[in-house]
Amino acid sequence: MTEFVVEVNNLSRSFGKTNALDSVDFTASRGKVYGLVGANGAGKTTLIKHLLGLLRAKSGTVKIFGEDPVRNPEGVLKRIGYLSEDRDIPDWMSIDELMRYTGAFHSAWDQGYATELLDTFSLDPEKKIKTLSRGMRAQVALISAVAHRPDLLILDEPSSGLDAVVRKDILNAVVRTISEEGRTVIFSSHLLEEVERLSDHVTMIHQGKITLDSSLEIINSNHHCSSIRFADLQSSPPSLEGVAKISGEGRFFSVVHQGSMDAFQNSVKKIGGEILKSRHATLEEIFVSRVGRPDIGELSQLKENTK
Amino acid sequence: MRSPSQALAWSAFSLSWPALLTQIAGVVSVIFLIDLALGPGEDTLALFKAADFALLVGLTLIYSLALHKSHNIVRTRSSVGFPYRAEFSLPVSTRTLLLTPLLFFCALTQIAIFVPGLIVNLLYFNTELSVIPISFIVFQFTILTLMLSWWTENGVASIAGWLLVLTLYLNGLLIPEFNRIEGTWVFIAANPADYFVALIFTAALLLITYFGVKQQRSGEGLIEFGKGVFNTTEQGIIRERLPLPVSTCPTHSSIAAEFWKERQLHGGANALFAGLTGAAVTIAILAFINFTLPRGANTQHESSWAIAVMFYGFICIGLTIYMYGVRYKNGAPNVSLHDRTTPLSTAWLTLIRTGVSLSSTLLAGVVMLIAIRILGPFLIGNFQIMQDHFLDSISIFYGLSILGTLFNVGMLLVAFLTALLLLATFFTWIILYNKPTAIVSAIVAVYIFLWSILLMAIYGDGEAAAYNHAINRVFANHLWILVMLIPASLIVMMKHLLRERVLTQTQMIYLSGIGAVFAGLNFAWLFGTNNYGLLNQDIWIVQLSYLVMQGLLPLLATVLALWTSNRIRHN
Repeated sequence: MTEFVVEVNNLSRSFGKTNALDSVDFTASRGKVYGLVGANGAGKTTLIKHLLGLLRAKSGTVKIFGEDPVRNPEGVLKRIGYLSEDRDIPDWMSIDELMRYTGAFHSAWDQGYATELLDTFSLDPEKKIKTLSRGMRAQVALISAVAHRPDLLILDEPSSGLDAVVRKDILNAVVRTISEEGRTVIFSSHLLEEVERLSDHVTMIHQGKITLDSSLEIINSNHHCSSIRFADLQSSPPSLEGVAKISGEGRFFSVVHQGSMDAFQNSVKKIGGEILKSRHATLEEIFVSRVGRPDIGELSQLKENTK
Repeated sequence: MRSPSQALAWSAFSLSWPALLTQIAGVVSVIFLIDLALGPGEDTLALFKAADFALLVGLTLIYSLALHKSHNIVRTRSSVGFPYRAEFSLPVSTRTLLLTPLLFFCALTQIAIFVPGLIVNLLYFNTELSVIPISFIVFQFTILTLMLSWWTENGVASIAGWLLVLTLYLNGLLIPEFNRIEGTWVFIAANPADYFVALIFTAALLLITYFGVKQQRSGEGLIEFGKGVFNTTEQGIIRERLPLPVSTCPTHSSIAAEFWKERQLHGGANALFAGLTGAAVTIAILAFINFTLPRGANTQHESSWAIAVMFYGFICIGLTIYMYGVRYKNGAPNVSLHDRTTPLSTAWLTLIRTGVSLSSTLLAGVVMLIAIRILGPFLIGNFQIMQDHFLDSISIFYGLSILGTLFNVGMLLVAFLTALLLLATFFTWIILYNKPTAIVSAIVAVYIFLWSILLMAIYGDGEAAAYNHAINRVFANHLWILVMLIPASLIVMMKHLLRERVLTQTQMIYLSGIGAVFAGLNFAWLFGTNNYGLLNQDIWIVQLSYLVMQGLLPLLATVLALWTSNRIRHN
């Protein structure tokens, strides 16, 4: 039996001239939470669709529980709980009908758990799904994704467009799923605080490529955000060890950097600067440093430099 | 694009040009094939009638397709009413918003009738053609049906509008009475002043439509009564509206649950509703025609049972078009992720979905037939004449033994279901890949066109026999390609299904075995009852080709359905 729940090897996918995924390698182990982050159109949903077998791997391989999700959709999907970004559930059904319908596909369906969640979210089982608000719809979709206690829970932008209360409900349900030993969660999100709060492991995708794939612990210990000062005015941003992003002008700069803190300190000293303060970088800072565009101030600086 | 009207026209054109190209190519190809199938002995009048029919069907198809697309540009839950609702929030006058698509569709249908019509006329008939009358008829047909669909969101008011317009039409107030010279496309208006009368009524209806759309833009309706009846295209609405018991979803098996879901969406309630609606509309139209015609004119309408067949055809398309779960969402074809991630094998999903849809079409047909049979004598004056005519048309079954009747009915049923399955698959492919389909159709039509030109250039008018012989040879040779394509594509698709484990080897063997049995039965049927119209043709390749094609079609349709489902599911 394979040790990985998800194994993606050298997966590439193009849509026309757009490279949605470019030689992606990704693995997920049992009992961990994987946060998938990336800008809009980075390739997160394309990767998730491959995991679900909704897209055939044209180049590379995808294995879920050691099986190809295209060749055995029934076997694979029975063990997955999936919440789609647009909460795609049959809205002509009542909530109760959806619960019964979904339950029929999963031998491990826990009606007690489903009822408990319905009560928690104050959802009336007799209500038609089409009459529900966006938030309630997300709650219903979530219940149908988790009530069979799936081995792998895939959430595509679970918090997108939801208010703080519903977001909290969803996160609590995810936490509960995680707390059950051996279950794996993969979720994509724009809300990096959420990813930081829940994930054991973060995978960053940018323009179809994995730019960062590591445990949150290692990412945190490896990335710092430092404020530095120079005695003299700097005509351009200084060149420093391990810089991912630098902003500021004149004598003061703010730097997001990775690697050893000592090496960075030395490189600052070497060019006549000093570190005023330093802390671990937040995931948002790391994300922006890796996939973000230069801000307006930096663009003007770049233009100045090229003159 | 410098103005809202240009932007609206561009949007409409972008969505409909592939369909237009397909329609033009399709009509030309169909007439060419009919010409070949008719053979050298047939007169040109038969081909002329076939061309008439093909042009009309082509026009109706392009019109419905383009209209269907425009309806789905916006997120509307209503099946009637002005479809460009997303544009209501744009800074554009209601006049522009209404007139631009109206004129666009009028231009589109003119192109759709004249371009293929002129090509066919040039190639086969070289007859005179009355541009203004034909153009006027097509214009009236387009603008009136559009206005009737758009002027109100109210289902009851919409039906009343249709009946009013039908009355005006039957009294010659919307389209002048034309005399047609047989064997030509020459139409002469009995009274040219009728053009003006028709235009005055059309202008009045346009004014009503304008006010109707204006009201819709401000969230009101011209008529509030009965709002919400038959107004929606939502899934599952029929089971909600019909006072029928709704069964509970079974939880003991995933197959039973999926079967329940499909029945709720496309099952008995839909079939009942479709059958009763089809019967009601047919009876209403026939009764109306009967009522408005002078006494003694009934005999002209002894074939009006064909109207029922036509409506049943629409019902079949309506009940099977969403068989694969492809629907439009915000103007783009879409398959629900929920459907695609249903934890059931593709083979089971396909079997359940196609099974429910196909049985619903049969049930709808039975319901429609029974309803017309019961209500017809009370509501339609010439019902007996129609019924006799209908019974005449099925006289091929008379005098057969019970076994023979069962065999014939069975084979017809298989042929009917095969045709439906192929049609549904074809529509699905058109919805999913309309541009490639349009391009391929255009290429095929151009190829056919070039062959016709080449053969005409070689043989000219003086050598009709040689020309006919050559054209039959070309047809036979190309038919072989088609015939070879059927087993070849079967092999490719079957290999794909095995590779992707949609079917196991054992299942594939069973499927092929059943396909072979049906092929054998088809051969027996074709020979045994002399239903094979081309037996007398001296080109044996053609005979053999037809046999292979018809024999293998049920298997091809089944494999194609599985292959299509798998493609849709895994993209």
